[in-house]
Amino acid sequence: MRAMPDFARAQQNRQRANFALFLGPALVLLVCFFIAPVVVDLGLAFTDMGRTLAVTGFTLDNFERMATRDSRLLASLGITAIFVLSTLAVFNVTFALLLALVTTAVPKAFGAFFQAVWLLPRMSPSVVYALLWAWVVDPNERGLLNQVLVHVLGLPPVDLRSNQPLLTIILANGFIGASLGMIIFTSAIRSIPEHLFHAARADGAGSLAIVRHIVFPAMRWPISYMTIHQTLSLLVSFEYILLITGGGPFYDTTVFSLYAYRRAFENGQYAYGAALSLILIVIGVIAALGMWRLMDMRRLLQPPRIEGH
Amino acid sequence: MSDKDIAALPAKVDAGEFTANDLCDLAGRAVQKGVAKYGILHRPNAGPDFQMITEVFGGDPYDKQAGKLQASKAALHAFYTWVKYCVDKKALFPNNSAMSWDAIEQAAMGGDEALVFFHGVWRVTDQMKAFKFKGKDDYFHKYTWINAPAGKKGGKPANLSHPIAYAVSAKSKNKELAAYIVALASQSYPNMQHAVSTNHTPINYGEQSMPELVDKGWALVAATPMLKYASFMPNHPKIGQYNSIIFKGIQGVETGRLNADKATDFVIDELQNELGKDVVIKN
Repeated sequence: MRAMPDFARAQQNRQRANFALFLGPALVLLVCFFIAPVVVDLGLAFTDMGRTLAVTGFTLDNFERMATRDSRLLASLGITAIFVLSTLAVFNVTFALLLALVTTAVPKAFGAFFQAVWLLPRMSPSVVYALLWAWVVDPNERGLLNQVLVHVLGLPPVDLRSNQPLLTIILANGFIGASLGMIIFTSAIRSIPEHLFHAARADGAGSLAIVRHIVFPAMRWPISYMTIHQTLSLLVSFEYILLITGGGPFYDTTVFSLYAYRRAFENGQYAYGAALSLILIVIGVIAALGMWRLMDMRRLLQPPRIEGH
Repeated sequence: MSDKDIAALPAKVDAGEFTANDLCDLAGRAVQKGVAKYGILHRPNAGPDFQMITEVFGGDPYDKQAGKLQASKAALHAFYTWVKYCVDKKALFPNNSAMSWDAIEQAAMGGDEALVFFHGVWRVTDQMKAFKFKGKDDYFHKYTWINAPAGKKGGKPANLSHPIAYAVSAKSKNKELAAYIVALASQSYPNMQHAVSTNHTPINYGEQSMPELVDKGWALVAATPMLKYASFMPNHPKIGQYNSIIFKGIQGVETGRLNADKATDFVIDELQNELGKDVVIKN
């Protein structure tokens, strides 16, 4: 048997070093913050951990309770589906696309200014944004919406938080959520070679035809990516809901992630909260893989189809 | 209702002649006739306030012998039936639990928009400020206090107190010193000073005759006779969770999401699932 030549060994070592150097940090992060929590959650779900954090034994009680005794579970999943699908369809994709189209169609300085304004809520702490919404939808006449309705339009005041709570949280999440899509879509539109627009104009295409035949074909991947990313993000986000409606009135806006949080951290039933979170993990994995396949995301990883100059 | 009727109300409540349903009828009429914007206002979130009004319907959250929390299906059903009755009469405001504390305090105090407000005696300081009252006479010209009225004619009214229990850690190196400090703070004079500065009733009757309490603590002197009907909030570690579940039921009925049957089932279900062995459910 012949020994491996020195240069081959050196190359192999370099490859290993490169692997550790480039992928190592990402792998450590992945293990610590993504895989480990799932493993811990899985383990916790089979225990009886309560407020004292003591585990006295392993049990299937949590799953039995979910399957037979939890009368709020299905309703909460239903609310989550409405919340995620509506926010996604109306705001995080459609409205974000509209914002990107409008802000790239107007003069650049004006568009950039408008985008910066739209990003302001993202730069401010969640609590500030939520408090502003609480003020906007406040049911008495001091609320911003009611000031406009009563004093400007002469209409009676409304109480959105009590009477349209789901709409309130969809609006609050949607307006801030649309800004991320706007940035991604804007950069996608800006990466379309400018001569294509000029050529289309020269061929007599109108604005709508340009959007349809030049912009939209270039948006497939950004839209697919945003849809998957925002679905997963909306599935687990509840901070604005907690701050604006508190999950109420009654359970009307208690999405599943908030429900699991409440059971675990407010009621001190950590094991049951962990078991509920497992459902969310399973839904997240199925949704991500399903959409990945449906949208043929593997092709996104191929070389870009639009060449830059 | 004339001033004379209002003045006679506390005695009628104590005699069991004026019931909880009567209170809703009265508050509902006040709203429908435009006398008040809100009939009965209560705190917007979970808290101990509701214990007294559940008690007049036979509720008792604590089994002293067993040291456990408890709930009775019949009492819960009677209570939530009353809540529904009050909502239907427009005495309870459906979105009370969605109001901010600010809005409630504004409506119940300075804004003069509520006929009845559930509150504790420590609120007097805020009420004095909100209405810019000069003293006791101004205050009682505006406010009349009643206990929570009986659930049915001839029944007993209820009120609530919450004596603070001091706990000295078993691991403390200075147990005797801690007990000594508690004993010192519980002496009549320092406790009376605590009572008048925070508007909480004093812990022994002797303090009632101290000149400083008679002068500054007139509200406490007036509240003391109401203690005759008071029960105590249980010093149980899970009473907060228990109160949250009772409140969730109230919110469900007020906002029209639950009727009395469903509210009772919901509360029993939540109590069993949340508190497990710490709560005993009775029929």
